[in-house]
Amino acid sequence: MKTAALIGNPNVGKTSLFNYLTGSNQYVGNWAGVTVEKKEGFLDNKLKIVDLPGIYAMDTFSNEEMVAKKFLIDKEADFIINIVDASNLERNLYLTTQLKEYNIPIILVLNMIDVSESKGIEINYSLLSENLGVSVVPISASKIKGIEDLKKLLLGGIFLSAPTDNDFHFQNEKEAYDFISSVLLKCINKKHSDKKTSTEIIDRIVLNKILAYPLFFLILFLIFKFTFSWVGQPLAGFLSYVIDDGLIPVLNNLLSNSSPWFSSLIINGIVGGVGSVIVFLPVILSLFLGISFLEDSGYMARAAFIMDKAMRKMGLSGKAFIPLIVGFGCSVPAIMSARTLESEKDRKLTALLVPLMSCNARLPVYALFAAAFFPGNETTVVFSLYLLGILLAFTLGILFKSTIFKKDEEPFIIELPEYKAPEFKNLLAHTWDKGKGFLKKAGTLIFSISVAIWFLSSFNFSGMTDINHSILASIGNFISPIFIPLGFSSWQNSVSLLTGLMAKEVILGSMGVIYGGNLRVSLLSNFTQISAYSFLVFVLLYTPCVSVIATMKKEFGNKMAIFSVFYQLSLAWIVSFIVYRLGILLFK
Amino acid sequence: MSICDLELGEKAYIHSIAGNEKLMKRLMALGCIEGTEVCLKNSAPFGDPLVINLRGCDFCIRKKDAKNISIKDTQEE
Amino acid sequence: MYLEILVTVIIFAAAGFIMYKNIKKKASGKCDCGSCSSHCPNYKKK
Repeated sequence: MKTAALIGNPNVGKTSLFNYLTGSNQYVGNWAGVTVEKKEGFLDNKLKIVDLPGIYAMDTFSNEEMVAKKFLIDKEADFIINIVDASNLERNLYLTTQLKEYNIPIILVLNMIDVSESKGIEINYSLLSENLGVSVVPISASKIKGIEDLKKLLLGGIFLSAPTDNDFHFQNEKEAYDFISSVLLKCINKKHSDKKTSTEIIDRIVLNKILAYPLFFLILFLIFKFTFSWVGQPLAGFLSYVIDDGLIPVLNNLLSNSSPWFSSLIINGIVGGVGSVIVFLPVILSLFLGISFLEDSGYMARAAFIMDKAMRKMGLSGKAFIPLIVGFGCSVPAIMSARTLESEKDRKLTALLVPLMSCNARLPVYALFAAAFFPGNETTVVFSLYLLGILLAFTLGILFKSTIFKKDEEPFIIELPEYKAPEFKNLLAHTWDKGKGFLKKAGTLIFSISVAIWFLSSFNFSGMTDINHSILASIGNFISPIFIPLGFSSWQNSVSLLTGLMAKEVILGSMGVIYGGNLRVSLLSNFTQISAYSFLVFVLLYTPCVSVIATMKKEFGNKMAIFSVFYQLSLAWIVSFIVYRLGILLFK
Repeated sequence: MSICDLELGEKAYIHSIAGNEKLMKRLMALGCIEGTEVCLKNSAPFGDPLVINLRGCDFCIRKKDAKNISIKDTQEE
Repeated sequence: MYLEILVTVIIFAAAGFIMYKNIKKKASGKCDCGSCSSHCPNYKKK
């Protein structure tokens, strides 16, 4: 089977093309030795396509370029699919000239033909093909037109074979660009249009000196409002009502004649545990929808641009902004997306700060406590926690940068792509996928942990017992002394925090089982406002779930993983302590 | 004269670039070479980073790096 | 009575199996996509 290497600049629709060609027939992994993602797939099971990372050239400095270069030098590809942006050919063709040096056939896929046509650019495809010595296939952004032609060409295997001796060895960038300019002069007819693109118009407002920052915070705030006040939380409340006042009474009835231990397992254990977490599905989906919208529209690149100056104080560049934003969803992909940073030190620093961006899984815990202890001020309380995480990230960034991660500045240059109206179909599909993922997690992991907790809380070594003498209580009592200075040292809380190592939502699930009954009411009698907030601070900061630790280990090694575990535990303890003591001092 | 000295929307031609080696290499690969037309499109609220337009694409670079890109008024040598 | 025991055994077996699978998965660093963003590289894998 032949292998094709898919190469192109970032932001030209390469991933989209890869998905169209390979469908679900893909495998995502890692290139050996570097933290660069490797994607392989198959077209109709007849052609293997390897998606190489998006690069601008083969020889500047990044890991991505090294990976691509090695792949071609090792003769792993039979031919190259070089995807370029037809509305921006000049810069895109620089890479093409470098690819010619490998002497294998190149199929030049001109993407975004519709955009270039609307800009008044006319391209003579056959002349271009002749001058560059490549096969040319135009496709439009909707991909439907042209994609079938491309597939036929790829499977047919008959394309312009590379001349054995080609004159594409340029001494330097200037020679290459001079050549490109001369070719384009022959092949392109541009009807000059002075019409401002919609991107320019939007950026006038978004990047305006006075409006940029306020607009940015307004957008983030709106997303939070949407999540907590307008849609997410109210729906969560409704779900909660359905379970407490609908499902549970029905179950009570059904099981009224069964053994008490059995109904306890079902109602207190399973429904109590899983129910406490599932009700927060609307909250999670709302936040996710908001952030995805920002990512897909292209606004995120602007955010990185705006935030660069501030991020530099933190020891990072604006490019690290996106992994940090991803961290508000889940730390695992956030740490992995730190790969877009081109310096190893920056990646490590970013990975250490990512968990401070409160992940989605902690949200249910905040939501419940906020509703119970700070009714009417939920948004403010939760927002304050997120803000605290960010502030601490700043502080620690500065600290780390001046000690462990001495200056190793990576060059800062980001392309600002055109704005794109997010396809709502895609957005909703992603959101639904996420919902499915969350429900699956609840139905499996949280379910099994709830059962385990129920068991450990109902038994000890001499059989069934009341909760205060159970195995769980012993474990809890053993670790709880650490939490005495923090104000929430009951064994129930200690154990719940421990289970949070599996997944943060589990904290709530565990509490649901352990405290039993109406969780909100039980919490009110086990915490004060101050200890509740101190508890939330601890939840915000302490060691993330096992997946994150494992990801740290996979990306950066054991030492980093262990360091991150301990530094986060210590940080959580210290800050929680300060918050609690300060709280008592000021408010008691 | 460097890019930083341009007014927003003003165009000029690249004279030479200096500074961080890695950045220079990346800039040249993007077509920022002697004689290329460049335009200062925008800047962030505190004047840093800047948005420049090179061969049809917008890029952000930091002010301190932009200071190392010197420009001239005409395309001739 | 017997039905209860049967159901309980099934529940515990399922729970045990799920935990085992999960620990294996987590130890190899796979994200559990309960909270992933559209930039997650694993996302395209359908």
